[in-house]
Amino acid sequence: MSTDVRIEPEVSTAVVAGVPVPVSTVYLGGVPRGAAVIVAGPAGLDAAESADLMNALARHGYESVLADPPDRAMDDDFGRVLIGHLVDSIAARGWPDEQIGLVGYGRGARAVLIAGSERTFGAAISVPRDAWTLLGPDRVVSLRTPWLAMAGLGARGELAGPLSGYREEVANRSAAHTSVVGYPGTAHCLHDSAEALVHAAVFDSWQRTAEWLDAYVVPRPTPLAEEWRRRKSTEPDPG
Amino acid sequence: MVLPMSQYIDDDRRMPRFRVNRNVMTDPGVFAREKEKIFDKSWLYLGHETELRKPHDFKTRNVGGRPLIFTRDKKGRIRVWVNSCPHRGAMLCREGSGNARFMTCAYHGWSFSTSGDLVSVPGDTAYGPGFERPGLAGPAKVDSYRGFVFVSFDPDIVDLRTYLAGAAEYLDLVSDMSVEGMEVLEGTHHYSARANWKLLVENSFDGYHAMSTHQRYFEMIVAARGPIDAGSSLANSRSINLGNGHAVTVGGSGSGDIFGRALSDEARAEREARYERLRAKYGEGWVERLNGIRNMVIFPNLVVIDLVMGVVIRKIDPIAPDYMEVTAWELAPPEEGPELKRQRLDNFLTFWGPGGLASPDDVEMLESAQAAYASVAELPWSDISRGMHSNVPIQSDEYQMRTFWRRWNEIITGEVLPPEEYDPLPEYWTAPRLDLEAETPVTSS
Repeated sequence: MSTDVRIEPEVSTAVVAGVPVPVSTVYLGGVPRGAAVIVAGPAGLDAAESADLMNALARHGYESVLADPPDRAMDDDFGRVLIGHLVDSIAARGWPDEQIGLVGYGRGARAVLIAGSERTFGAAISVPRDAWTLLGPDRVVSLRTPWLAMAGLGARGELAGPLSGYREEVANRSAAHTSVVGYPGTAHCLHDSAEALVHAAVFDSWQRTAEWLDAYVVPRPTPLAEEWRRRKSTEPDPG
Repeated sequence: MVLPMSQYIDDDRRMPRFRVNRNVMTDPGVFAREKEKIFDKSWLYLGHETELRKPHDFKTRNVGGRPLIFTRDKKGRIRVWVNSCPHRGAMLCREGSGNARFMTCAYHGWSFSTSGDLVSVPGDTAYGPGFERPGLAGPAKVDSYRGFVFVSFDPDIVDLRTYLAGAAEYLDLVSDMSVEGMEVLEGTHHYSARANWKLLVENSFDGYHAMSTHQRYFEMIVAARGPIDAGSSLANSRSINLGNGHAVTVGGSGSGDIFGRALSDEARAEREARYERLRAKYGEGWVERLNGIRNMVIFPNLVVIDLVMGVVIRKIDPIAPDYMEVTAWELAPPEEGPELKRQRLDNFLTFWGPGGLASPDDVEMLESAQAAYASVAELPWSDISRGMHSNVPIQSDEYQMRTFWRRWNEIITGEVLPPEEYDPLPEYWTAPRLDLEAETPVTSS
């Protein structure tokens, strides 16, 4: 996620359910391809990694809004409210749900999973620090949003079995397409490292993130595309 | 009756004798005419609807020499697109299967929905407001019968149901093996053979070769289960012309029991209970037919074989006069229990698989025949006369192949050879599919 031209996100504080939450934004000019709503943690990305991520998304044409909620406040209910708040803020810039991709890191991975099960967005991606964030009690198994999860299998591959079972269950029970990816020899794919397996996992994880967004987030039509559709007198049908 | 001998077919009803000139297996000119007159003008099998379970699932396939995308759009409708970007031609889908709402060309980034619409063009201001934005191209016709999806590149072709003629009834038979609806299982066989595609068509419903070519397989069955009586098991068999070049060989109820490993009592009971449910739904006669074996070719290149405890769907793709590619899938009842499913998959792998006990034997025979056709000047004809003299064509005769060849000859040369006349099919082979709730026969639809 290196970049030559770096955009410094604008940082503000939003009060969500009475809790102050740092929120960063990178808004783009022109006609961005789509929008990303990011929950960076807790136990996810640090501030520098978050800024890198938003820049990398910008290079793929996505403007983004990112929240880094405090550990003490984060539970399922707070996650719901937080994502609702972030989606509302990006929707105010004209983004409908199908043009929005959700990305959650650390414990934000579960918040995104829940949001994707309750509402249909363009795409959802979960990158937990610990796979048990997804596999634990009250596991979510039915998605309305195309969902990608990427987790480490542990140093000895001890999570391969549980993750494989979960992959099958969620695929069978979801209306939308889902994919659960496990990386061998690493606990997670959050932070880059000189260690080969970790580096490979982080690199692959980012590539899959970009491809998943491009495969499912509906592109915002350009003015010329809108004009073409009007000329063809057809209802917009983005597929 | 003496028929005029064409360049390719010698159909002598007096002797009787039926021969095919081996040039049809080697001549590039014949191969080019087949592409133009057969593969550009027929309904060709693409895939089964159950291979696409969710919206935006896709498979990439080659059909009639074209790369195609077989997908479901957002509304769940089956869609078929040419796998080529209308911009500069690169393939949009570079994987055999997957799920994607949008397919983006890796060359210049044009993006298309599964509905075929162009949804994104990087830097589209360079094209101006009057630019006609192209969507994806598709074959002229797409239609399905009982979940079997076919395409045709001929806009003037007859409708699929008319084209299938009598073959539709046999698709009904394999589709009716499950009350829930048969499904294609995950896992596909891909293999190739250095032989002409029509050699595998012949082989796919050639009962005559089984005991000689697959001798080792039957030795294994005998070793595992004790002696088998193939003669009596297949005594009640027929070869049937289904019209339009399609044909099938069929064996009577229980004839499949000579193949595969022995089933446990529990598995037999489970299968019998399923058949009992089917009898209550479709009638005794239909299920008796369903419980037999069948090898069918739907002209030109779709094979459906219900043999060795499983239904195999096989697509044969001509690549060159002496080279073909083959794809095969297994069709199964989703309600099947673990042992029957395990046996089915075992047979699909160990009998039908590219490294199994049957397919490599067949491929070896076809490749050796193709290599020997280098001597076509000295030995120009292959013989396909078996059973021509009898009143009842059986499974180990070659009537089914002659049916294919007469249709092939008609399309390639324009010469129409009259069909062979045989005794009418007994009632056993014509028992209709009933809807017992309505108490009326149900015609294939």
